[in-house]
Amino acid sequence: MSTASAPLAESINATLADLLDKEPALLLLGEDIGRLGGVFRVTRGLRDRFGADRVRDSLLAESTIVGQAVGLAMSGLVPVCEIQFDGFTYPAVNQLVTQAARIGERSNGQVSPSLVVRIPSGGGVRGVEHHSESNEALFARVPGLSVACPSTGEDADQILRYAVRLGSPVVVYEPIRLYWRRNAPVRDAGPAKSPTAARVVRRGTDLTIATFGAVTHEVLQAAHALAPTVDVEVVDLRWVAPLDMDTVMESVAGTGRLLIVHEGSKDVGIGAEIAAFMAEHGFGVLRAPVRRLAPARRAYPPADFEKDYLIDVQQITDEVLVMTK
Amino acid sequence: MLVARGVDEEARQLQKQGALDLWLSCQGQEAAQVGSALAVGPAPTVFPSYREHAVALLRGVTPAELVAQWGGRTFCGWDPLSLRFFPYTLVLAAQTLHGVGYSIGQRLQGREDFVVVYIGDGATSEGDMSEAMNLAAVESASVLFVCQNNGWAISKPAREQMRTSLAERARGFGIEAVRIGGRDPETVFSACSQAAAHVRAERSPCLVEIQVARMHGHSTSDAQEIYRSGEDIAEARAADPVTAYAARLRESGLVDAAWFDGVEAEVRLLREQLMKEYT
Amino acid sequence: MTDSSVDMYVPGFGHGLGEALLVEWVAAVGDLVERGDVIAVVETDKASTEIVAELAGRVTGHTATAGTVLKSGEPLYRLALGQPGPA
Repeated sequence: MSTASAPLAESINATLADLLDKEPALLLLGEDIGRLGGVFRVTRGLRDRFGADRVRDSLLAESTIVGQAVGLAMSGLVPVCEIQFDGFTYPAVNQLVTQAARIGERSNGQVSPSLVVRIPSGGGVRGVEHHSESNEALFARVPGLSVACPSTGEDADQILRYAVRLGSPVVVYEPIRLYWRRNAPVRDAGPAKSPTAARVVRRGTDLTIATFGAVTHEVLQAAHALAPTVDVEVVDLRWVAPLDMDTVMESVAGTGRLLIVHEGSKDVGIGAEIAAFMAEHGFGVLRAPVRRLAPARRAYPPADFEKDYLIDVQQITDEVLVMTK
Repeated sequence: MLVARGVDEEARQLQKQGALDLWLSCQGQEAAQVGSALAVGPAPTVFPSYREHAVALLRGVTPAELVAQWGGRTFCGWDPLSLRFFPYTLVLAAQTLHGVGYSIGQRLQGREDFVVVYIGDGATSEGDMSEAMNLAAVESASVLFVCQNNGWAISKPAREQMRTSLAERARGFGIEAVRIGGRDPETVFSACSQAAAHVRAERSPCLVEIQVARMHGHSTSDAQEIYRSGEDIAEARAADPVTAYAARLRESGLVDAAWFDGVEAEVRLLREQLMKEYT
Repeated sequence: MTDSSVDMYVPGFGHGLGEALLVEWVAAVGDLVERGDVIAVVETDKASTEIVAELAGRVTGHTATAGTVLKSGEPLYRLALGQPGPA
């Protein structure tokens, strides 16, 4: 049950081109995004079209990228930064957490800059050390930052268009292994209720899986495979901060069971927050304990071992069967 | 300088009374701050560290607005946009990159791109400072870095923080730089005027390192007597730029006793207002 | 001679790229190649790149034609291993 789709990288490229075209204040900033078009070619052709002032090859320094973007945003521009790989985000954490996230509050709302940081993320592509990480949970708990994890070009488009007008910083995680994939599991076509809402991508009656990012593909594959025996509803959260718990609650109210699946490690992760919310607010509708399926707390392994780390279709299927036995 | 000294003294007093939670004194650095702020004029946007009280007052921040964040009322007591004086930044050197980015952004939009970034000697050890100097140099940003080197990063003396002067370090990044004494506001004014003229003419960065004396501890929570010799502290206080410049003005006959009386009255009024607001 | 030939496969292209457009064959059927010689020019979603000989030998057959999309792991060409003497 899969369908042909435009690669995510091409969709994001088209969205960024359109935003650059329509928003004169918007500019792109990142390592190798101009001449090269980015290491993933997501910004291919944009420098030629919009010029080196608006598609800026940054210095090779992540703190410089985000710190400079804070200043650019204060001056009234809308910087959309690219960090080359998830694991290289860390030098920019200070500027993101103590600065970008706090400008609005520090200035008593007199400065409300829109600032986007795009981060290619996740594994399954035989990346070397630091090239396959998923650190979205780290930023999800920072007040003042919004964190999005789109898994389709359509969602990335809606999220980016929303983010560049939000008036506070947004970190957007883009799944590397979906950048150039040309087929995707079938999804329900229903639109999201709002740009920040989760999306029910498969309707079902027996169990809800809440998930986000690249692993949404494996979850949908598992759900389709289980269809004859278990009818799984799949919620693609799309954002991990803020979390759209209304949609999750609504879904679990119908199914009575909740499994959370994500690629970032389990401990103190997004799943823990969702499970805690369900325990506090949704205990009455649960017919079984909430469960999480996510990698153990350890560093992302060398590529030869990444299959042991990542959550695959079989694990999801097994977990669903255990929960619905 | 006298006003800044008076406000600073009142804030120290208010902190001792428990009305403020913390105060970072600028005493000893008034000549550096007033001289540099007057030299660049009102047009540039200032990205301060957290001790630039004299600059703040010159930019139109009121004493009550200045101390508001130290009394736990807000993160920033003034309107940063209209005063072109951005909020104090407590994570060291983070503002250096904001300042350079702001200047680039202003230039891209065809607006006034002259930015002044203030930093202390201690904060220059942060990576962001090196990154900001390099970024300003390669982008040829219209940024004047003003480093007030008061010789101490809380308890670590400057000689243990760096092997070269900051001015020399800046030159390594390709930034024009000068190192001057900070006791006389006219020396500071003159050096900063030249630096500002360079920034405007060349549309490229400049750095002025100003040697100042730290008369009090890093903050009101510091106890500099623990790590600093009595002699050294006495020397710093003896080199007080405020009293020295007041004496010079008096001796030169440029201003008379009535002028000093007027300033004194103004300071008294400001202190009373501040005291009323915070006690 | 073709009896001793082995299948050579389309390699992985990194970063999750599993496909590439075959732009042109550089090594024709019958050509002798050294390890590292260019066999074909391909275009992935990210860049134009070369597929090079993994072993020395004589190319004895092409499995795809220029203009088709190759998938990592599929057979690409056949190679008679070693350094045969002049034909």
